[in-house]
Amino acid sequence: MPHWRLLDTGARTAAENMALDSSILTARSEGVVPNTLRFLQFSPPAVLVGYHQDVGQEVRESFCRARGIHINRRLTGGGAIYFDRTQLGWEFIASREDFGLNRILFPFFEKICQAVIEGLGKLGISARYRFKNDIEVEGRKISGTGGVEEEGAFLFQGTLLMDFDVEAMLYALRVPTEKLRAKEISSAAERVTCLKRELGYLPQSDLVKAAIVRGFQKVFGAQMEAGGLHPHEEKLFRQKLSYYSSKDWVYGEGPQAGRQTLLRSVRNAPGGLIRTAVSYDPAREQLSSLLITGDFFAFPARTIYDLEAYLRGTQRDLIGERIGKFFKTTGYQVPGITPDQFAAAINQALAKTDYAHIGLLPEEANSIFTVHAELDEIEQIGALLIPYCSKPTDCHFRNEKGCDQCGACHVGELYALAQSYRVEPISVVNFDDLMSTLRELQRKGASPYLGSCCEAFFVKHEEDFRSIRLPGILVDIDSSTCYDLGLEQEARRGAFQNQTQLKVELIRKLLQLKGAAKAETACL
Amino acid sequence: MAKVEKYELPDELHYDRKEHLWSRIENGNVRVGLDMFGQQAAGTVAYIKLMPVGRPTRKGRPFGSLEAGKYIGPLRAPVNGKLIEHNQAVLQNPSLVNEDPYGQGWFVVIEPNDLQEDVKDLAHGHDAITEWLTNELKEYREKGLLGEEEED
Repeated sequence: MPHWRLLDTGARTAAENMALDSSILTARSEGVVPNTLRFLQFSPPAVLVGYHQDVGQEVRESFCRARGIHINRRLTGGGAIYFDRTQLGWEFIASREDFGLNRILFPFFEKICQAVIEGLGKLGISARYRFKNDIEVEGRKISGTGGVEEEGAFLFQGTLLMDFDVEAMLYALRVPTEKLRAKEISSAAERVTCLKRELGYLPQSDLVKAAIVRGFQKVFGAQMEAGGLHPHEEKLFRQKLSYYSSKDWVYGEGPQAGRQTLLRSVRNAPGGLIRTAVSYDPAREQLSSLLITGDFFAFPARTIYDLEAYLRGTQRDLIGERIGKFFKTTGYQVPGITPDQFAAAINQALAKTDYAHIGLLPEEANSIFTVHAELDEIEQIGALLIPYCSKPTDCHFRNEKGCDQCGACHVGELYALAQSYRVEPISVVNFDDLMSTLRELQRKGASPYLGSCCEAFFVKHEEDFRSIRLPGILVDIDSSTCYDLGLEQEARRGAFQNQTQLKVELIRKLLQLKGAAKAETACL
Repeated sequence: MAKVEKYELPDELHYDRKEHLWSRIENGNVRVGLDMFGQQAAGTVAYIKLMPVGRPTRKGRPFGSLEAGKYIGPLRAPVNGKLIEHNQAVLQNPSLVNEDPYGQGWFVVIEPNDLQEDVKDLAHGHDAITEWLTNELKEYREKGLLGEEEED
């Protein structure tokens, strides 16, 4: 029976923990210390980026500095994590040779994860391995992992969530959560679980550690002996600590992911509404992460969590193929939504990256919906449709077609702007008026329209828009809309008593891009 | 082309048996990439980091690292020499390693010091490659380490 060392280094700073990782791994590769199971914690809390990640892109540094959260870089791969006292780090440092491995193969990592899963089982939690290298409970991640190799030795580590401070995590990490909306944040939190949630109480960390030790003993048949750091490790630690505390290490250059862009889409399918929030790396044309929500039913409930995990890192051109394969392989079902419709929803979000070359930022692209044509395909717009709800509630023209351009709101400004681009400004006073206006434009053979409505309105009336064969661009509305306030029936009649805020700058940009040449310029 | 199970390994390349890196000898220089078994065992490659061009390489010592499935492993030089070229395309798009392991997915070109000496221990030729990979797969299978390591 192999004898392994059980090492508990307690709560330390991020730099100390990184220096210890490196020191223990080096000492193991030199054959000075035995295979080791180490427990670690972080104090003060820390954000750790993956070895190949860029701090600037992953971490909200000002928030971390203000809260005393340390920032460091792991030796291991994977994504950025927030690590506070409620999380327990576990890691296994061993020689490849001891396991007869010329190279590390994934089933071996699965075996290591299995040891932790066994341990969780002893606490009464039924966890399982999720490809690649995560541990989950009912589709919710409870421990992420990563690894690194050095001269014949490897370090494989994971974080076990004992409790979960979702707010601190979301504030400390930059991408993609900072741009998520409130509902998306709660959906993101649903993808993760912790011991406290699973057990109904926060267990003593000593009990958790003991359970994991038993898990390793069972899976690997190893004898564990508690031990401290070897003098050689302590020497290495003293030598390495300044480097792992340095800006060179934490901010050091490495191959970095391309800038992440968060893109959204919303799409109707017979089985329900599909919303996606896609974090995309345009340089690599890869999905970095993905959140799919909606009002559809999935069987089993974990389907969407698994699909999201499966699609992480997928090349853009392989999305459809991979989704098809996922449903075929798992046998999971989402009634009324085909794999192609999921792919279309994601591709609809990704299509927004193509707007960059015409000068639109991703945030702006996320506020645009199109009907019957992509933005690129619409060359020139002929009408600007302005909803009555954007006029002040006491405006004489609130329920009238015109505008006297009095300057009290942005509507007059848009009227003037539209006219300068030879685009006809049209106020829309209610839903029926919208439909008759669109029909009239179609009948006249007008150019495509530019309009403004909230996302909820577009989702509800997408088919109505499509029923009229006239291409159009719709820009989302900023502030509380009738749908947010539950007043859609009043709004439909034109009796919604609130003033919404148009995205004037985006409409201006689109008029510049898609309007006719400015009248005065054309005269020159 | 040697083919063992689903793994295809072109005969004309030289293979490092432990690292699963291939070497293609071109005008006396060595172009290096990851073979089909290596790339499938690693899974989708997420990042690659390479030593700067101009640095000396030592046989068996890392010239870079590769991250796949959140695991970072070294890329070890098959020959002593000098690193003379990076594949910028693979640095930009590491999944080329998976998509085209023997084509666009190469890592570096090394100018070797003593090519004949250094390639002696690399597997080369149809029979040698087939024998090596067959034995390796058998060994991993016996250890239960050749399951569904890659979902594709």
